[in-house]
Amino acid sequence: MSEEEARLRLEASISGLADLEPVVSARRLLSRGQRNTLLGLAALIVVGGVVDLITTVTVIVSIITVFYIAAIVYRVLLFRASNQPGTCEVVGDIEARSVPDWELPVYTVLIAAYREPEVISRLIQRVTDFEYPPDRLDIKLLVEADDRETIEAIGCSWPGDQFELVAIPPAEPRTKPKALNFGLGLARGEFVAVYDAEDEPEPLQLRRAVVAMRRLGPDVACLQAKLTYNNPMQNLITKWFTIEYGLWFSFFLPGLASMRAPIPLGGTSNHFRRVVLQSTGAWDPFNVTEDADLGIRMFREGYSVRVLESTTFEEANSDFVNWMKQRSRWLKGYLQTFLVHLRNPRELWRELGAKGLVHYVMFIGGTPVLAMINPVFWLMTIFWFVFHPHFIEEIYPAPIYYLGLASWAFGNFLLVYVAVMSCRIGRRGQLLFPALFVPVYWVMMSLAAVKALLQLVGAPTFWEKTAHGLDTREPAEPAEPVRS
Amino acid sequence: MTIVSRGPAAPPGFHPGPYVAAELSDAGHVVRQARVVRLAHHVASEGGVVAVLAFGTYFVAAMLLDFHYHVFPGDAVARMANGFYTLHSRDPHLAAMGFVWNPLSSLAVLPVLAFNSLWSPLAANNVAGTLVSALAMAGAAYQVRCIFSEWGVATLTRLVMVAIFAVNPMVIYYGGNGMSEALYLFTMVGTLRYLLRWMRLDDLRSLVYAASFLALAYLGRSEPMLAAIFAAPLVFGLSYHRSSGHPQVRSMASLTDATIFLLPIVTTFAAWAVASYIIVGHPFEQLSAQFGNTSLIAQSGMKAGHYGARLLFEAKSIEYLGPALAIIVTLAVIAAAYRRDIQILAIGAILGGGLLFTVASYLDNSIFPFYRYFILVVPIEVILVGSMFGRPLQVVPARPREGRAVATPHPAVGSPVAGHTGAKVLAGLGATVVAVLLLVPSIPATAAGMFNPGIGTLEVQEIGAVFATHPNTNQKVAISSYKWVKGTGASIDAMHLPNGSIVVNNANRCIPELVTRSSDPRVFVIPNDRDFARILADPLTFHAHYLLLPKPSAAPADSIDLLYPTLFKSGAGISHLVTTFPAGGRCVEFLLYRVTGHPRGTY
Repeated sequence: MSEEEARLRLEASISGLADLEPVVSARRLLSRGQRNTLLGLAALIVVGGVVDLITTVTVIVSIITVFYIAAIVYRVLLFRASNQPGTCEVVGDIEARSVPDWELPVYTVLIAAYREPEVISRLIQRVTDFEYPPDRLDIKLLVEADDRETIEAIGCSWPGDQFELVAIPPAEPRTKPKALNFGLGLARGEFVAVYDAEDEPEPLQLRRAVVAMRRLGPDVACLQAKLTYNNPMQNLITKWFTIEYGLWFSFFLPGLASMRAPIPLGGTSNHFRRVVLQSTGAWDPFNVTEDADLGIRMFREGYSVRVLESTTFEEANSDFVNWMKQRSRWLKGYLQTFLVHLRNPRELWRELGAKGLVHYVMFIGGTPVLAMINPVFWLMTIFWFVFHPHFIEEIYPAPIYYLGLASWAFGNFLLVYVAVMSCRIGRRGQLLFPALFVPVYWVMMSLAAVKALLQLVGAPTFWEKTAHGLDTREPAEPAEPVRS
Repeated sequence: MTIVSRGPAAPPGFHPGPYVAAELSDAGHVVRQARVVRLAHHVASEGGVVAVLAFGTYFVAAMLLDFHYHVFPGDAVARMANGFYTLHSRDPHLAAMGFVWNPLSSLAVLPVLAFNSLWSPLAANNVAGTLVSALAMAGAAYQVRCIFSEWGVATLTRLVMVAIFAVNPMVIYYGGNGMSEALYLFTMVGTLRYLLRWMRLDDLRSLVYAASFLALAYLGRSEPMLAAIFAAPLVFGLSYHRSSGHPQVRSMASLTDATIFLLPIVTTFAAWAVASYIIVGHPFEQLSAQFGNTSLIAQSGMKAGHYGARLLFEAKSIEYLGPALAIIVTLAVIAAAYRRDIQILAIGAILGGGLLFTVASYLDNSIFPFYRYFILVVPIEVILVGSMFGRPLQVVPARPREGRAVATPHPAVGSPVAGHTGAKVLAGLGATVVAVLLLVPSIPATAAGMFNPGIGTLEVQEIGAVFATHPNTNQKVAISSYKWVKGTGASIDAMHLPNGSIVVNNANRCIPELVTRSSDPRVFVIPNDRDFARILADPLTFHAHYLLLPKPSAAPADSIDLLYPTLFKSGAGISHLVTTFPAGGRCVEFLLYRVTGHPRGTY
């Protein structure tokens, strides 16, 4: 690749989407309309507070309480929907292996690695394990050209012809979506899969994806495989993280899929149709959860995302600070995504429909917003039980008080209960006790949410890199064989 | 070791979850799914018919008793009234529901009572309570039917047994009178149904439903606690048995299942206790109230009797409700042992546990000797008989290939997969005849218990007059009470008093009826109002001009004469007697005082 070509490709990878479709890019956080609306709202609250503080706070508290109730009802509905037949695309082993090699398409696998030399050899081994003809694999290892250690590590364990090292010219932002866009420009496959460097995908995953994609037809743009962790027992954080992933992949994702809702993708083990991926603008390098954003954008374009019954093992974040960085990035990204797509609410309504919009608000908006306001309400509850202050009585008119009480009691119970259920579904009984104490994890989540909010204002597109390879143990077998 | 379910793997109405769907994805899954869908439609229609017929019967029967014979159980009105106060009293707030009784009956009527301003008989005639009872009892009949159909009991046998359950006189009466029995049966049978399903299918959803039904049951009554204690080891044991791997992994897996089963009822128990503690200062108001029953029993004139007499009452009540219970239990246990069917353990744990709690409570003298407390005998009989004709669930030694349920060619008696048509029809007919012989005697026997003044104490007082040619005083209690409430209510309405005029304690019998039938319930100041104590301390200041209280010799001391012990003798220096309302039925004589002054030290 000539230097000029590389430069052009790099430019397209960074600002292609933002230049062509600025309205769906997070390069600018707020549109003018959004900024004016937010300022107007803030002014309204200030004026209301000055005129009648109690009524203003009552109105705000009432709206939030109703939102809480809606969020709980929504999660119950997701749980109900998650068990419907057809929520996951199931391709049995026999069916997956029955496709003759010559009928398999070229499959591009994009793996972005940045300063992760320690995981490279394991990664190459696992990707070599794919049950897929090597001559039909187009594996691109995407590395920043100045990331010497990683490039050297790849050189040391050079695997085979199906691998291609793509050195991306060094430039800011050094983010995964930029690397993926660069790799996508060089992709040859009919399908494109995305993995993280530390992933352990199940060997039949690509074959299953091919069968499922052909079965589903062109409207399905992407399959999301299920993710779980290979180091759940490392420490308390990884235990909680595993429980949370269990919830996400056993309840929420299948629930969203079954309700035909827009699905925020999970960043790894996504299997795309390349043509659709390219035509929808691929990843937005200015969005720190480019995966979630892409899922929503595809849905808006009329495509759908399904869940593939196949598991990829990942490494759960085991370090508190590292976890905090990752989580605050996710929550910030959800907020970014939420704001980006809400720039033209009328158009969003038209594209998503009323139901889709409800899903969008409840899931993409609700997740970070609830995490942010949770501590406020927890503090208020504790305050109320300890001091019985009069002002809390004043801002809670009877119906709102009862709704609040119901959402507090039932909502908290429900979330602990589903955490316990997720241990059962993931066949990880050893996580039972952490599941019962999962509210402590919510406190961590709220801290991350506050950090996310501050960062959204201060450095909206800043990407905090999550360190991998913290799990130094030998890879362990899961507690029980996971069905695939 | 593995669990073997005989017969088809997916019972009617079962939607395969993702994992089951995985198994179905091989050849033939389309055919099987179509069959499940077809069966689901079939079940929905049959279940629907059962539920609608049952609901109609219970509702119409109750309306007839209510509007034509003016029969209304006071306790049912008291529960409904607890819901009523939260919406329509002087001080509508949720805590007005009180903590003496488990709240399910009161909570369940709330959505109906919200429409009371459109049609006042919803509260005045407790139509709200009737609606809830009828729905719940129809639900119980529906659940019984579902248990049988999921067992694969042949249609005729199943429908006959469901009908025998549904037309049991106690089921009909309590299916419309607003008492907690209907909700109790519905939630307990619902728990059993889903627990059985979980045992058969090992699906999380059924376990969650069973747990939720059990928690709901506890919101209605205290008995389910024992059912939970009995069923938890069953869940743990079966789950352990089914899991594989290292013993520690297996124990944690089964502990997780047991936690899923217990967490809702334990949380409900704790939440109710905490709420009660925060609001009324005592965590177990319902229990302390139950212990208080001993004194109430003494005052009510009912002899508590010694241990033997109590045991005899229990035996008689159970015998009237289920004359063939001993035979049925014996047969069912033998059949289960012969077929190595473990499902009988669930029936024993859930329904048996509930019944045992009642038996122990009365032996402990902490509940009244009421026939209705033993109503669980009715579903126990029917479901035990059904268990003999249903598909068994066995624990058998493991086969070399672990994990797959192995279908054996021994289906349920008379089920659609059994042998050829002739044998099938014969087996079905035989099962039906056996069921009829075992179960039908319970119908007249239950009725006999209801009309035996020594057993059906309440029932005789409430509906005795309806069926007697020359009813005696005892049989006319409900009708006389109705007249008392109507007469007293009319007198008070005629006074055209403003809000908050009469201070009265609604823990007294007939007062909930009086308040809910009143043309303006806000006239009454009741202990559920948060300002009750303040007003009672100095009624005149708050424009409460009247005190209404029972004649001290006729009722336990209530909050009014506890504060003003000399009221009856001298008007406590603040009031004088205006009028008396003579006793009628279960309503004692009430005295109405007009407040004329302030208590000393208040001004």
